[in-house]
Amino acid sequence: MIQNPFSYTAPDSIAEAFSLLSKSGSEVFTGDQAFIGNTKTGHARPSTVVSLRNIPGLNSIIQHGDQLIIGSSVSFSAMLADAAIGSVPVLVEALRAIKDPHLKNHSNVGGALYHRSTSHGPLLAALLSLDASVSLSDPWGDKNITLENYLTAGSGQGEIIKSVTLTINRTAAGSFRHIDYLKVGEIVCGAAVVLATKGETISKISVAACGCVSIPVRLRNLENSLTGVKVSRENIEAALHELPTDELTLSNVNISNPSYLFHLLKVLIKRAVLKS
Amino acid sequence: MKLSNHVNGHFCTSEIEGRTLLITYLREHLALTGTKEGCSSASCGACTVLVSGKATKSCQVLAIETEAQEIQTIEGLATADGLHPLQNAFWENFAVQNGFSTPGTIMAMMELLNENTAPSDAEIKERLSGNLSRESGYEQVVASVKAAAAKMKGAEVAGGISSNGKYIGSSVKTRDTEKLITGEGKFIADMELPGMLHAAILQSPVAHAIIKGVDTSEAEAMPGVVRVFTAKDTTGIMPMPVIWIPPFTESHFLPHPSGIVPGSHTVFATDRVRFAGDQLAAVVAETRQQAYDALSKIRVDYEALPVVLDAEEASQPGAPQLHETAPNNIMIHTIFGDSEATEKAIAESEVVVEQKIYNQRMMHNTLEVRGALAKYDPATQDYTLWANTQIPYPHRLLISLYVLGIPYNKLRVIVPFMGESNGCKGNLYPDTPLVLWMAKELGRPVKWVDTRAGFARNTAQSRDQIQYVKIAGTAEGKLTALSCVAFSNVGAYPVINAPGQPLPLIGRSIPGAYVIPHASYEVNVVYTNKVPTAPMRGSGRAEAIFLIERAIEMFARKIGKDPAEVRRMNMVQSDQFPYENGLGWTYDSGNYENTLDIALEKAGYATLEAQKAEARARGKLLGLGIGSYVAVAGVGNSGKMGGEGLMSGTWGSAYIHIAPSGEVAITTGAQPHGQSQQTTFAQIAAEELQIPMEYVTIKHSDTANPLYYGQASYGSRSLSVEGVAVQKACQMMVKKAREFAAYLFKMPVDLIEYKEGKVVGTPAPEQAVMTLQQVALMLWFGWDLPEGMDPGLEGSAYFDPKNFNFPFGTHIAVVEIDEETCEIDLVRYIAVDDFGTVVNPEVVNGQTYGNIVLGIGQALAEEVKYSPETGQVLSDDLDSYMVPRSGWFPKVELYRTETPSPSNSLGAKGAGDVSNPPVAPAMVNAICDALSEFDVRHIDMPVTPEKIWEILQQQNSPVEL
Repeated sequence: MIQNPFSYTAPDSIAEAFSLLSKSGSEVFTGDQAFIGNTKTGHARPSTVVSLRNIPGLNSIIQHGDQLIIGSSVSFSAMLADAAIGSVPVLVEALRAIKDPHLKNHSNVGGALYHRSTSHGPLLAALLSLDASVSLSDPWGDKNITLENYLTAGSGQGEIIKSVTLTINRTAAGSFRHIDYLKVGEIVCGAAVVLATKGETISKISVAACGCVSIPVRLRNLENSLTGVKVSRENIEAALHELPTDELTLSNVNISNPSYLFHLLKVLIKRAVLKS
Repeated sequence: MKLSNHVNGHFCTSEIEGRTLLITYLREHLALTGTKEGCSSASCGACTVLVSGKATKSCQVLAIETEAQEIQTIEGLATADGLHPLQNAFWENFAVQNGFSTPGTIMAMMELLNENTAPSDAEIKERLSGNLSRESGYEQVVASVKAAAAKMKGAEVAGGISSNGKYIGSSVKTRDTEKLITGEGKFIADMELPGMLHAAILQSPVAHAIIKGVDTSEAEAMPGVVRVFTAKDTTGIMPMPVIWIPPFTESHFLPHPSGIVPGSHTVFATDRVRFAGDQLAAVVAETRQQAYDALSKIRVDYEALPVVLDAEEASQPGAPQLHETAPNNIMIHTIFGDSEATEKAIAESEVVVEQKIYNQRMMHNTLEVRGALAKYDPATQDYTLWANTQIPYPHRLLISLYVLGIPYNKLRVIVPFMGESNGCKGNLYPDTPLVLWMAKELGRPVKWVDTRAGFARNTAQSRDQIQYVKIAGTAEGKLTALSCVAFSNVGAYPVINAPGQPLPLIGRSIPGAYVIPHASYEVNVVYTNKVPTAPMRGSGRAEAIFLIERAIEMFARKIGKDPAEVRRMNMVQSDQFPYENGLGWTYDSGNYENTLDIALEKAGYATLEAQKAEARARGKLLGLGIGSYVAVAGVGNSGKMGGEGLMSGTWGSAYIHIAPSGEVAITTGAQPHGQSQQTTFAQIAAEELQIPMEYVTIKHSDTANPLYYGQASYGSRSLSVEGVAVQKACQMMVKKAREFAAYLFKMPVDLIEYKEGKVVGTPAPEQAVMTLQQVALMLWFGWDLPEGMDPGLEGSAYFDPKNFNFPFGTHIAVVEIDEETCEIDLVRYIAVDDFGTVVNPEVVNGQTYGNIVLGIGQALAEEVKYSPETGQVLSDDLDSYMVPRSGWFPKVELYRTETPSPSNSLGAKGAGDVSNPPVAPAMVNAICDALSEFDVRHIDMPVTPEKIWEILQQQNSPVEL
């Protein structure tokens, strides 16, 4: 049951959606099931829900060369079924970390960006590691910002997320590793890694964490310390040993000891790098 | 706003609100109640349907978002040609027990089969991740999906379930299952009566407080509200009774106006609340949504009091006192065995191991929450109560006599289809008589169905015992003594049978399968501000077997001997039965060493060291853990149970009637809730009467059925007590038929044989023969009866066993712990059990799988969390209360031996919950074995990777990258 009554509307155009969202108390609804959970718990108490389900152009995956544009209404399961997505291992592994078919069918890119629940963490981490950008639209036009900046700043009132864009780097490898203890569907820690090598040396690496942090985050300092390093278990472990304990605020509702979370994160990063 | 879509191929349209969830639209607007609401947070999967072919948890989707889409529910699966192959497969492979989770599981698997026509076990288990089972495990579901996939591809599915040509011992397809796999079976939340109102009950915001006022004015003005009730309206309702009063020790309960039984809490708290589920008010409205909308408007003015949540702390001077009648919050203090002699034996022993063990608090967390529907007929003054309870007959007695003070013969209790209980639905809760009383006050039927959050706070929880254990013996491994001093956390109020679990079920069971010359168990049963505790699957025996199996394991390691050998040398031998265990149980029969040997052989125990080395090379620490058990079952001898303090009989009963048509109807006092008594009892009857099973109907779940005296189902008693009553009832009929035939055939009764459903005069078998149906017809006519014989072929039978029965076995868990992350994987699980004579093997397999899944959950994940400041329950949904999912479990291997019980004529031993006790100790023993090189002696449950990591850090064996 949802205690808080609200009115619901599903406009046919983005312009109409802007108009509705300009009213106080209205919230955008991408169709992601996390929003329903938030209304049930009272974390979201909209007076009007503006559904994007009828707005054209938000439910497709388009490839322009190496650019992949994923519409904000595209579900996790639709992404997994897409051949272009299938060529990006870190993305595929992140999506496959979500086992519940309902979550795969009713979670989407826009929902991940708006709600950032634990089940969205793997996708966000993978997109962060891919240097994805977010296309936002408001009544005054469109803008693109990096996903990293978006996760810090959020979206403004009345803004609609249209898509996420990433570049497929065919010379790079990637992997997503995670801990889902007892496969209950709670990812307590996850690490997404994308790296390119010259010979056996890392020429470029991006690392993103999820699950153990409130919002998925890039680990820039670690990336710097791993760049130029020869890929080996010893080198990776040495770099991870140097990761400052206070760089991140680690927490997860199922784990009470942040030191353990920190340890898990390092293990997962190591495994993701070595797998890649 | 208007919603239009297609549901099960039909165009549907309805006026809904924006906030209307898809599940509400399906169940309330379209009356498609096959889709069930379990957790309400998209965790359990009970509400799964297909929306445009996609698995969708309908509790987490707005109905309006399905505009113009195709929805398929369980009701839409079967066609005019019959059931879908998947439905049939679930039925044929015994994947359905109580059936509450079945529709959601089937629909989730439909999506899989539509995408993948030949899924592997791993793929099926992964897809099942969205669906929880709390009663059946996943093995039979996996088998069902594979069978359905094969059938859908046109393959002939070989019959995997064999029959022995007789009814007893054959896996006969279960009855009533068709209603569950089609969604037709009505559970309490599905029921509608004309003019029905809906209730919502307000619980306390904190665990311990003085209530200064409850303002219902805003709630009363809300739309649809009929009335709001508080304590001032219910002064005529008596407190809940307590019906277990140990005669051998002093108990401290609450007063009860009857003067006959002690009391517990009232339907509404008056001036003080003592736990987070204490009830404060009830709203009754036209719809459930309106009732809960209004509930949120009630304002409670309270002054918080200090809380005490730990049983040991609560028993100390200075702790907050919960009840004036219970100094130091002690409900009961007693000792089983001779503690002085035991301590002396311990002091004199060569080797002593001491350990504090915490058997953590668990939540039954059944997928179906509790509910009640009540109706009062002013014309006849009859009350009718529908409730998902496993004790309908006790409900009738206790509510009429001790709570509402209404005539016993005016109250009828009916149990509709019922989800699993795990023991929590074996209590009388204040909400139930409240609903009945409100129905009378308002003159309209009233239905109350709890929420998941409400269930977490008001439905009994379980386990929660602190144990100080000492085990002693010789350096060669012979046990000499065992003692336990325990603190049982019974929560804020006693449930109706509060002393049962912490007293005899634990206290008399702690020696387990072993000969221990001196044993004693001292227990303090303590009140705290937690939710009251009641039995949970494995109740009492789980705490006892965990204690002894951990203790014997630690003892073996201390003396440097093989834990299997130490068990073997101390086990009760097969020539020692009947065996008195020194604490009050007399074990009936067994061969404990045999099940141990089988389990060890299946687990490859001889190659354990090689297995460990191989795992280590992969970065895994491998461990093997043994859990041997013997568990009291078949409650029980009424005199003995009375001696323990239970104010109830515990006999079994059956009423049998053979119609002139030859049809047999048997009413049982058992209460099926997934154990398939309606099938197994028909098997017993068919075998005894030697007639086709199709002629036998088993009636149950209604106190208006022709069985005036009935009991309930709990504690693995149904088959070995109630089932024997069924057998006795059939034997009565055969006896009367033979006596009648003797009269008609003019032969001595010794010459009348009963064979293949006929009475036969052996001197003239061709002429002197009548079928059972003919006998019934003639007796119904009553034209010519022998002196003293009444017409009709009917009667009641009772069975009061002279002793309990004692199933036994050995389980083995093989785990691997990741050296880096400390995650635990279960590599193998082997269960060797002996339930005596087994009537339906596949039914029993299902019970065993469910027991194992629950035990593993306890060992690794489940624990109720409370706020230390307010005492509020924090784990109030299935996301915050972790339960392992299907994708994590390996294939569970089941084996059985069969040692008949002399306690009953079937030779049956209990099976419903007894294979739960060995599971948690097998798991923890395995984990400690894996960590043995780090000198890890014990880890309290739930054993999590985090705990393992912390222990290794502390022991200077840090887990490095």
